[in-house]
Amino acid sequence: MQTLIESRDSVNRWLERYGVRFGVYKNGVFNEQFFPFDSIPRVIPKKDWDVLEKGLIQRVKALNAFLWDIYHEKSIIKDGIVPEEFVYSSKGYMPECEGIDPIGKVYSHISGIDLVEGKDGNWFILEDNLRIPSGASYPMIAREITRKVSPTTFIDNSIADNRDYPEILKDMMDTMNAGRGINVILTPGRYNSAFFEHSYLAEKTGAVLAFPGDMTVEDDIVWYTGLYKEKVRVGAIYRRVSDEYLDPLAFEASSLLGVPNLFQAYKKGNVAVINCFGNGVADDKGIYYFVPKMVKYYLGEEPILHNAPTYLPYYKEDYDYILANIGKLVIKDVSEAGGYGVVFGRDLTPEKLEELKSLIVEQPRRWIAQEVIDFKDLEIIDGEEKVWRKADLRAFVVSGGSGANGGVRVWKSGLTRFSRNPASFVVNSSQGGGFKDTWIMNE
Amino acid sequence: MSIFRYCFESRTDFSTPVRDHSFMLRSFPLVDARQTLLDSRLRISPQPDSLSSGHDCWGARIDYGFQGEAHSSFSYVSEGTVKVIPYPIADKSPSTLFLMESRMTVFAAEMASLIPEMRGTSYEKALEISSRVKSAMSYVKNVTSAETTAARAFSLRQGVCQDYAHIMISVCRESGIPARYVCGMIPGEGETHAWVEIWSDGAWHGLDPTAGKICDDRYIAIAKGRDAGDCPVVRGIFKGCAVQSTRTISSVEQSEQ
Repeated sequence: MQTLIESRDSVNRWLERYGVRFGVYKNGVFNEQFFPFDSIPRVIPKKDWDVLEKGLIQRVKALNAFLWDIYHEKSIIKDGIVPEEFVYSSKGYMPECEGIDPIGKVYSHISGIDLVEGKDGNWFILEDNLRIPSGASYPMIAREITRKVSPTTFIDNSIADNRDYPEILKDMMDTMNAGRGINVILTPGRYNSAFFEHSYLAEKTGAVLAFPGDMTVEDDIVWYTGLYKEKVRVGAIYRRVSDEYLDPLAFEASSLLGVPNLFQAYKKGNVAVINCFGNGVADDKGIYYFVPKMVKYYLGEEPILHNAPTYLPYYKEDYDYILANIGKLVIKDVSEAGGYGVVFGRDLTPEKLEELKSLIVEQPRRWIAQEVIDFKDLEIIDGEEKVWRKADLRAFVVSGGSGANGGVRVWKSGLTRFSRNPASFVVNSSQGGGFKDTWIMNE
Repeated sequence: MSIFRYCFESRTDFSTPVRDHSFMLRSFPLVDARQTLLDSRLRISPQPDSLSSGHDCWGARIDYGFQGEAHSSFSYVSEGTVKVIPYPIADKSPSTLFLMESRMTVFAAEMASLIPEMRGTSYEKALEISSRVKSAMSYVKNVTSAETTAARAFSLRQGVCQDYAHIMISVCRESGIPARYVCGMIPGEGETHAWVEIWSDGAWHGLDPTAGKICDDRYIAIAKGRDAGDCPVVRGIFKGCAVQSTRTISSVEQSEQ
């Protein structure tokens, strides 16, 4: 263990050699950043993990049921559980997806669920990511390297082996695959912030790494042509291109990142698109409030994992509460992602608070407010000393595989991110900060 | 009821040959409670390697395909006979979607002068909005493009039928009246036309803010949606470095009453 902690610098050098980076666009300039690794792992005891695992499977099942319902019967709206304007005004709702039956009724194949652990040991869900959750490759490669640098650590401690993520992904892609085609990972290209991850996952899962222009659609079938101009049928596309850019003939016409007429092939059930089109309606910050209600509604179960206490200005009672307590709440703009559009009331001057209040009064649907969770700090090494930083955990839940639990599996690992700035509560890789390995203990 | 012979022609010339050309067309009259297609034909030249058809989520017919070989022009002719009955189209409960802002119809404070303060049915209010849009705007070509939003066109006070329709839709929705965009053909126009359907008292009614009138049975719809972004009549993407020029002609003739 000590060798591992002392190995931080050599692990980071290895990561650098492997090109483990992420890119950030700021003011129109593309910069690649190294994503620093901290060698003190986050340790999750088995008894905690067992609860998390059950809760995550439950949550993702409910979210998939919600997506099916929204694009079909809409009974959750008819039964008055979710107000319809939350669905129709969500940027992620796509009317084009109405009535489409995705293979196996699975919409969110790869879900990245962000959690934090409170000081009292309770876990809270911060956010669901059901479109293109990234980040799995960092703990994968960090573990690969730490196992080499300090092999005894993994012999002496009973840590769940996390090297099975490629198998979990491949099993899911194979199960979803239509017409026995090949599996591909579609990357927007070299300058995407997560390009390292795209190429790494393709290598590990045996999928073909496809670039824009490598695929065409004829007779509602997707073909990979690639470099050799030999047509091969595509059965599953793990796409890392967002919905609006994925088919220039169905959506954003100016997109050069997509596959023309892919949406029609998907509609006919001739290709699995991973994750499906239209998932944004379920991971909208405004819809988040309703996820525990979905668990009860679709599964008839009590939610195992809880949301952070959340208020919707849409409801009169919550509206009054928010305006009266804005100084102690965290306010989130539902249309923003990636740690942007998040404001802590306590950081604002009285004038700014009044401005924010009037924005909420004007457009109540655009905002949610949450109690600030006093979450547990994790130790990191800063120079020669150990310091405490805020951290969260992104758990990866894969749906649509061949195994038990309806093919839903939680990867026994995850991405633990910590904030660089000691005062910051926002842990998002695009806002600086680093990551840790996450150890799920076997006993 | 009217019966029309329609013919919709489009030809795109490329300055140098292009290949791997994927396309999608909306070129058939929409089949709904108001319109019945009696006969129809679509010819595409050069003959594509693959051609499929289906419907978009608003009910419009789509034809899409792929042409791999190099070609220097792309043209199609869609013709047939359609039977049209007058508005309204009965619909008990319109989708809430048609009350929501869409990408091209975001309301701007400047457009508040178009909101009628009057009492009355949604239909009466929409008629008033239509006439206010007509008098606020001047019909001028080539100042706006297919991408121009309602707010931008209104700030210019100039535009074409698409802009008139977007502004009217934006104001209707802001006033609580469900509204949707229609792209179609009318006799004597020579190109596609755009108008608005608004929902009032259990039915959709057609209003044409560009002409400042109520749509009759000479309005033949091709596609409908939240705004023009949902109704492109032709879209294509190809490999090659070419300048393209497209010419579109539609002709509609009444064949019997």
